[in-house]
Amino acid sequence: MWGYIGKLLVVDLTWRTSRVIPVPQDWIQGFVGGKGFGVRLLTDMIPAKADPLGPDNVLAILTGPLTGTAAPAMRGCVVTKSPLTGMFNDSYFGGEFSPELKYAGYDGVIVRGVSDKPVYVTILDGEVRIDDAGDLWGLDTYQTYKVLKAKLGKDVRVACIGPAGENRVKFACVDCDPHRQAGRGGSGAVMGSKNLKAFAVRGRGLVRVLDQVKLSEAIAQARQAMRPHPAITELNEMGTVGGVGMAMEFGFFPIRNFGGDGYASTAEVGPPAHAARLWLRNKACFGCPIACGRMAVSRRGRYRGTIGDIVEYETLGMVGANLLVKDLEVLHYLNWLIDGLGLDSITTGACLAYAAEAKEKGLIGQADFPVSFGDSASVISGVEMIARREGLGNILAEGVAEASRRIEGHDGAFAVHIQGLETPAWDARGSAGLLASYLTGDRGGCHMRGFPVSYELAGKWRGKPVGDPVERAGKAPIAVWEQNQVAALDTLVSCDFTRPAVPIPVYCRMLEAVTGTALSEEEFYEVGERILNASRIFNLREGWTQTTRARLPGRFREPLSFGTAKGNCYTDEDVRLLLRDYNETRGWDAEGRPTPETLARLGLA
Amino acid sequence: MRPRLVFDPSLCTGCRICQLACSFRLHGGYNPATAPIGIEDRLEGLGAEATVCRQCARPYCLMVCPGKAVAAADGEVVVIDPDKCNGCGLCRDYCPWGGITIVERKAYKCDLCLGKPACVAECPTGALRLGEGS
Repeated sequence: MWGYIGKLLVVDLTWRTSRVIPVPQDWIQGFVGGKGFGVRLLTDMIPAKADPLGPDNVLAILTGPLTGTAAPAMRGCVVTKSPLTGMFNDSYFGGEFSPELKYAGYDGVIVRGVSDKPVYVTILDGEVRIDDAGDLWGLDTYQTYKVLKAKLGKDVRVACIGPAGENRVKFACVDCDPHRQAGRGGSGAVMGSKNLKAFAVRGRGLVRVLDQVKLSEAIAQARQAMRPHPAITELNEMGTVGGVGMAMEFGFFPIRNFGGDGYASTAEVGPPAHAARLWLRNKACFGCPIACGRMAVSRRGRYRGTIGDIVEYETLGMVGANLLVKDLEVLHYLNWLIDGLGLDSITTGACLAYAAEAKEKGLIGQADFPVSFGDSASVISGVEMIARREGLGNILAEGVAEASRRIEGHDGAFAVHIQGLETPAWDARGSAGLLASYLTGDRGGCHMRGFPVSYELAGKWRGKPVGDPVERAGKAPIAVWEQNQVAALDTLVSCDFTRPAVPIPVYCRMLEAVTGTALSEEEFYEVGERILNASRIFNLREGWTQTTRARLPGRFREPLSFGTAKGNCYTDEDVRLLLRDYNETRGWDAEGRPTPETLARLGLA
Repeated sequence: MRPRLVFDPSLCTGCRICQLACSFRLHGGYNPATAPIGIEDRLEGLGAEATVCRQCARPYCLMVCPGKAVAAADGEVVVIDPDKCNGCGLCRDYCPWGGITIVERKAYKCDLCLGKPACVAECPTGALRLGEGS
C-alpha cells in the first residue's frame, strides 16, 4: 500500500486492550483520509446521542495519505463528538506528531472507553502500551513534554492535555509538540473524561510512495506556486498577525465582545511591534516551507523570560481586542498560559469577554468573577479560574452558550456563538458569505470551514462577479464551494495556509503520485461534498436541527460600529434567505437535511 | 580540507524538509529519523542545531570501522561502502556529531549527495549550504 500504512490502532481504555484494524477500502475510495475517516468512524463507533464526556464517545487522531511525506504541509486531525456543541468535531494540529504516527505504523489511533485512573498511551517502535499517568496528572502541557521526553527519549512526539482537559473544560484543546494545538470544540475535555493524559509516539518505519519522480515534480510545483504568492509571503513575513490591518479596516476585528470600536493602532499591535518586541526564530511545522510560527521571548516587564510561540491573529483578536488587552508582553504571556493550561484561546477569549460584559450589565458581581475589559491582571486570573473551574469559571468552562443560559436564564444577546461554537476573530457582520458559512459549518461557526471573504474582497469568484462583502445575494453558493474545498483538503490532511497558492490539480497530482488514486478536480470537490453530507447526517442523528441551531447571536443583529462594513447587521430574514440558497445549492431540503437523491448521487444512500 | 555542509542556525525554521529530502534520496521513502542529518532544538525551540557529518580531517567513523568500509581520500567527502558495511553501529556510536544513522543494518552518513546535496537544494531558507573545512 502506497502513502497509507493501511492500519488503524484501536485502544480501549476500559479494558486496557489494543488491536489493529485495516483501513476499510471504501473509506479510502470515498473519503481519502483524516476528516473523511473521522466522520465514518464516529458514525459507526459512537452510539446515537452518546454523552460526549462518557465512555461511549470516541476520540481519534488521524493522518492523511500524504502525511509524513514532503508534500506541503500535512497536519494531524483530531475527531470526536464535541462536548461543547454536541456535534461532529474535527480539529487540526501541525507539528510532528501525526507524521510520527505513520512512521510508527498507523494511519490513525482511535480511543474508546474510559480508564479508571489517569493513563497515557505509548506507541514506541512497534510496541503499544497503556501506562499509569498518576505523576503527569495536574501538570501543564510544557511540564508534560519534559517529563515524558526525559522518560521515553527526546525523539518521542507527544500530544497531551493540560489541566483544562483534565477538568473537562468544554473547550480544552489537545496540544502537541508543544506550541501546536487542535484547538476547537473541546477534544481535550474528551481526553480528560477518558482519564487519558497523553499519547507518546516514535517510529522508525518509512512512508513509501508509488511514484517518486512524479511526486518530486508535483512537490516542486506546489512549492513554486507558494513562493511568489502574496498570501504566502505575508504569512512567511508576518505570521497570521499579518491579517490584523485588513481586519480592522473592514470591520472583522472583534473589539470589546464584538460590541466596540476602539482598541489599538496597528502600530501598537501589528506585526512590526511583535517583531521588535517578541519574535526571534521563524518556526515551521513539519514539511512546511512557509514558517508562519515565531518562537518568541519577552524581554521586559513582569513576564520577562516567557518563551513561547507567536501570538496568533486569533489570540490577538479574541484575547486581545475582544478584552481590550493591548500590551504585547502580556498577550505573549496569556498565549503561553492558555497553551500550558490546554485551553482554546478563541473560546476562552469569548467567554471572558462575555463575563466582562455581563458584569457591566449587572448580571454578575465583581466578587463572582473579577474580569474587566482592559484589565490584564483580571484576564489572567480569569483564564486560570476557567481552567481550574473555580467560582464562576466553573460556569464559563461550559462555553458561552451554556454560561449565558445559566447566568441569564436564556441564550443571551451578547453571548456570541453560532451553532454553539464561539465565533472567531472574524466578525460575521464584515461578510455575508462568512455568515452563511458560520450558520452551516459542520463543527459550528468557524472561519476554518470556508472563508468566502477573499472572493468578496476580490469581487470575483470562479470568473463571475461577486457583490461586496455585506451584499447577501449570491453568497451561499460560494460558502458551499469553499466548504467542499476545505473539507477535501482537510481529509488530505493539508494545512489551510497552502490553500491560497497551491492549485487543486497540484494536490491531486501529489495524491496520485503517492497513492495511485487519480481524482479529477471535480471528483476532489465531490470528496469534500460527500464528507460534508456525512457530517450533516451525523449531526442530524445527534439532534441538530436548523431551527434550533442555525441562529443569529443577538450581537449580530446590532449594527457593526467600525470599518468598511460599519452599520451592517442581520435579521432572521437574512438568515432565512442565506439558508434557502445554501440548502438549494447543496441539494438539501428546506430544513437542511440531505435529500435521498443527493445522498444517492454521493454514494451515501 | 573536505567539502561539508554548513548550517546557519538563525535561518533554520525546523521544517525538516532537509531530513525528508535526505531520507527520500537514501531510502526511497520518508522518515526524518532515518536521515543522517538531524535538527535539534536549542533554548526551548528559540534556536536549532544540525547534527550532521563534519567531514572530519581525522574521521572517527573511519578509525573505528572494523570492516574498513569507510574511505576518506584527501579533499574528498568521507564515504561508507555499503558492500563492506556490516551494520555493527560502531561508527554511529562514536561519532560525536550524531552524523550517522543505521537503517536495515547499513550505516548511512552525509556524502553530500556526491556533489549536489538534496537538503541544500530543498532548504526553503538557505540555512544549509555547501562549504568546506571541519
